[in-house]
Parts: sequence; C-alpha cells; structure tokens
Amino acid sequence: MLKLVLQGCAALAIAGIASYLLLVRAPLEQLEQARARHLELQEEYLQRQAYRVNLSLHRSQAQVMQDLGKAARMALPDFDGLGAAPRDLEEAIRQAAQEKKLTSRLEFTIGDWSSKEFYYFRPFTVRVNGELRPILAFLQSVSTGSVQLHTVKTASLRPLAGSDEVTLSLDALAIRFRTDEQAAAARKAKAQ
Amino acid sequence: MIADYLARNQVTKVLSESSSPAAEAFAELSRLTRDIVLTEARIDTMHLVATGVARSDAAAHQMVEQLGAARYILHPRIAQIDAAPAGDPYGPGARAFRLEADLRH
Repeated sequence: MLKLVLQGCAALAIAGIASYLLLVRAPLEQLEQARARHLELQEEYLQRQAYRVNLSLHRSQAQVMQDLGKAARMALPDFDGLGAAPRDLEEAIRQAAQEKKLTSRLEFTIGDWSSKEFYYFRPFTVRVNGELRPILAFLQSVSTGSVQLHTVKTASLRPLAGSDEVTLSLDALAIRFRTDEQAAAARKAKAQ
Repeated sequence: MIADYLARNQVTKVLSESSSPAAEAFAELSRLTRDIVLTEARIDTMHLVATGVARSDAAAHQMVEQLGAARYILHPRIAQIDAAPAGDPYGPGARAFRLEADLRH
C-alpha cells in the first residue's frame, strides 16, 4: 500500500514538473522576449518621435538635396567608359560656339581619356575666329560657365590679319566623375 | 545621395579653381584705352603674357596701373619695353612692350 502511495506521489511530482516545463516555463520565456521587444520598440518609438518634430523640414530638405544631386550630375557627369563618344564633347563645343554666334570654321581635336583618383579627364583643343565679344563669351561658356565641367589650361588671342576679328586657340580638359566603385576597380586591377 | 553630391561638389570646386579665368582676364585686357594695341595675349593656367604697342611710356605705365586695379589680374608688370619699329602708326614715341601678370579667381 505504502509503495503504491509513494509511486503515486512520484508520478504526481513528475507530472507537475512536466506541466511546469510545458505549460508555464515556455510562456514565461515568451513573455520575457516580448518584454525585451517591447522595450526596443518603445526606444525606437521615442527616437522617431524626437525626429517627428522636424519631419516637414526633412521632407523639404530631401527635395532640395534631390535637386542638388541632379544639378551636380549635370555639372559633373559620370564617366561612361573609355570609349565614351568624343563626338558628344565636340558637338557640345560646336553648339556653344553656335550659341555665341561664332560662324567661322571651328577646328577641334581631342585626346584620350586619362584618370586621376577622383575624376577622368580628356584633353581637347579648339581654334576659332570671331569678333572679340562673342569669342570671350564662348571662352567663358567653355570654362567657368560650362554646363559640363571643362577646365582651361592655356588660351591665346591674336588679331586676325586684315579684319576686326581675333583667333582664339584653346587647350582645355573635359572632366568626368570617377565613382568610388570605378576607383576601387582601378586600384584592384593595378594591384594584380 | 548627399555623399555623392559632396564628392562631386568637391571635385568640381577643386577643378574649377585650377581652371584658368582666361575669359575674364581677356575681358579686362579688352577694356584698355586706345593708346594700347595688343598683338597677342596668351594665358597659361594662371599666368598672362601680352605683347603690343603703347603710344608712349606714360601710356604703358597707365596700362599697368589700370590692370593692377582689375579683379582677375594680379601683379601686372612690364617685362620688356623698347622703341616700336619704325613706321609704327603711333609715331616715333611708340613703345613695343611685353606685359606679364598672374591671374586669380
């Protein structure tokens, strides 16, 4: 009889432990996890709440930054490969001359692309005749007023014999942006 | 996007500063008085060399003073000055000169 009672007690104890493990411990652990998650979310909420004050300001700034990004890409375009068409550059220069009403024949030569750490550059030369004022306007549009970045290395002006015109000879560089990926690829190729 | 903009802006800024302000400097030269006739003006990055004829010594010095007050031209100086070749339209007092100057943005 005593043996049966002891076996019953042991069975009850085992059943109690099993019940605790199955029914109580797992939910308790889930509860702890839920509490930790709740604290994380609460912290995130408070952080975002702090930013909410400036939300409209940030929205307007994002628009400004997008516009600036577009403007920067226009001023300094991406390099689009070593075979990037020289004709595009020549057409841009010829168009600038046309806009400044320079109608004489424009001589244009162009070199190959080279690269520095943060940019690619391509030398080009221009020779054109015209009256002084449009020649200066053209020169300015090729350098400081350029929509796509060009830098002037040398420029010379000479009177054209027998006329009121001058000859402009110009050595300049066309610049393109070198992205971090392109710079990293070049470094990797150099190291191999 | 901000990093891209800043990187491009930095490159643009640095390269624009190294680009010669040639158009602006030539424009300053074009404002010289009629006592000066330039036969050639050449700009190499940030250095200007111009040759020409002045009606007189005084006109040449006045040119240097005028260019000294110009925004894009720095330290203008007469590197060489001689009598102009015989038969110059400005007469016997005409002076052939070579002007040098530095440029600034």
